[in-house]
Amino acid sequence: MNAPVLCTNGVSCRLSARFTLHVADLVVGPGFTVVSGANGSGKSTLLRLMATVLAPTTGTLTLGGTELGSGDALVAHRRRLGYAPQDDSTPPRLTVFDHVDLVAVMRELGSSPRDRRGAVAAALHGRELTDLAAERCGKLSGGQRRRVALAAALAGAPSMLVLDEPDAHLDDHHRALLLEHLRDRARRQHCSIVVSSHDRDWMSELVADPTIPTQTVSVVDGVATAG
Amino acid sequence: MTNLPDLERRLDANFDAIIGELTAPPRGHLERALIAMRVPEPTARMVAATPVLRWAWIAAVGAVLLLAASAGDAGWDQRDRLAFLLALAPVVPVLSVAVAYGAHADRAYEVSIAAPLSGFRLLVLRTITVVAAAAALTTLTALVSAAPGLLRLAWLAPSLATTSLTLALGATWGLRRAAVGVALTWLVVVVAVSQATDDAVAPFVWPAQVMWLVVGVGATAVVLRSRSRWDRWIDT
Repeated sequence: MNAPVLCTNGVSCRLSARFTLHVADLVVGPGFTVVSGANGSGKSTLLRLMATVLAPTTGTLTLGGTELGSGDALVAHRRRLGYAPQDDSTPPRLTVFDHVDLVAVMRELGSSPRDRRGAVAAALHGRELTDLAAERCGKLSGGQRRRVALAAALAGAPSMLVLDEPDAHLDDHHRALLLEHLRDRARRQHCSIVVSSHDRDWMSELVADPTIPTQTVSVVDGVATAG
Repeated sequence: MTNLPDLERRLDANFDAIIGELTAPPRGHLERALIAMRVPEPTARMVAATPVLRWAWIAAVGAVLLLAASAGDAGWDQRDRLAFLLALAPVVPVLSVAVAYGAHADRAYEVSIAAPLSGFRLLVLRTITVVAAAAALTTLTALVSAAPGLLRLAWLAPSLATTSLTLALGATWGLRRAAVGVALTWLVVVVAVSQATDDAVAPFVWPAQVMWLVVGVGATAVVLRSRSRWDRWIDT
């Protein structure tokens, strides 16, 4: 099933008196949308806009032609979305399983608690976290917490992923595992994947498959443009 | 007839569900108790994961209330001591709500915004959870404070008023700012009424109780009317 297309139309996002992100009109469809830029250029702001965490100050986001303001269209977008922010999003006192399950509850995954917990177990297995399921997040390393956040975003096979520096803190083995997983999602499930990273080699490898549609978005000094 | 890929999918889902049950750590006492009381499992899960609901918070709230109940010097009579507790009790749920919801309280807050679950529902669940815990502690404190009769429960209507006002204003101002504003206003009003009437418990007896009830019900109506504001993304 192809994911509906997310479009930005004349979007800007004012974060402070000193910083406003201006976004050229973008079309985010199935395949990879790779976001690159220097520290503080506005990459994370762009990803938070697409994840509907931040509201545009001007302009609109549309999903399949319907504006994402509030109500049904916004909920429909969020239902198909898996989001992993750049900052650590794992509460230190919750166990790995409980955190991923809590996010799954909020994402309304599964038709029953049993199904939902099955999706959580599969997501933990995919990130090689099954053995750590009962550990508190606060006791894990930075890389392990990153994998927990990714498991929460990837659980239930959402048709759109917004991943802000998903490879940060990961070792080589888990970076390779994630890369293969994302490629598989894009190739087989036609998932729309918006991803940012500072690692050019990892990004190049991610988009190396010519059969997967790919677009690049550069963010320079608060201006995001395709290509 | 079931086709092969469909059967494969169902087998995978069943296998995952079994692994899920084997992988999941045991549920906590609160979550199990809520499920036993027939609270829907997802709701029980969210209530049990309320960030502020920890022994440290419960101990801190209990200590503050006990200190309030035993405050004052030898010149204070029983009504003065009770007035001190009654003035402080409605501030506790307000500040508890402010620290139970938002980016400052919850590392997963940003992820929760990007999820389809209604932000208003999450806010209400967390508010009910911390207010119920605070109310239980206040009731215990008031009961052991040897104060006269129904006056021991005179914090209920003011607490409804302050908590619902905080939620009503929080949709526009942000929860923390609203909580501080409401808490300070409440304390100023209590002191002013007590001074003007020369009666420490005047803000808590029946004419004032009716007013707090009206404020509480009115603010609750505003909260319900503005519920969609909590379901939106963060305005910039």
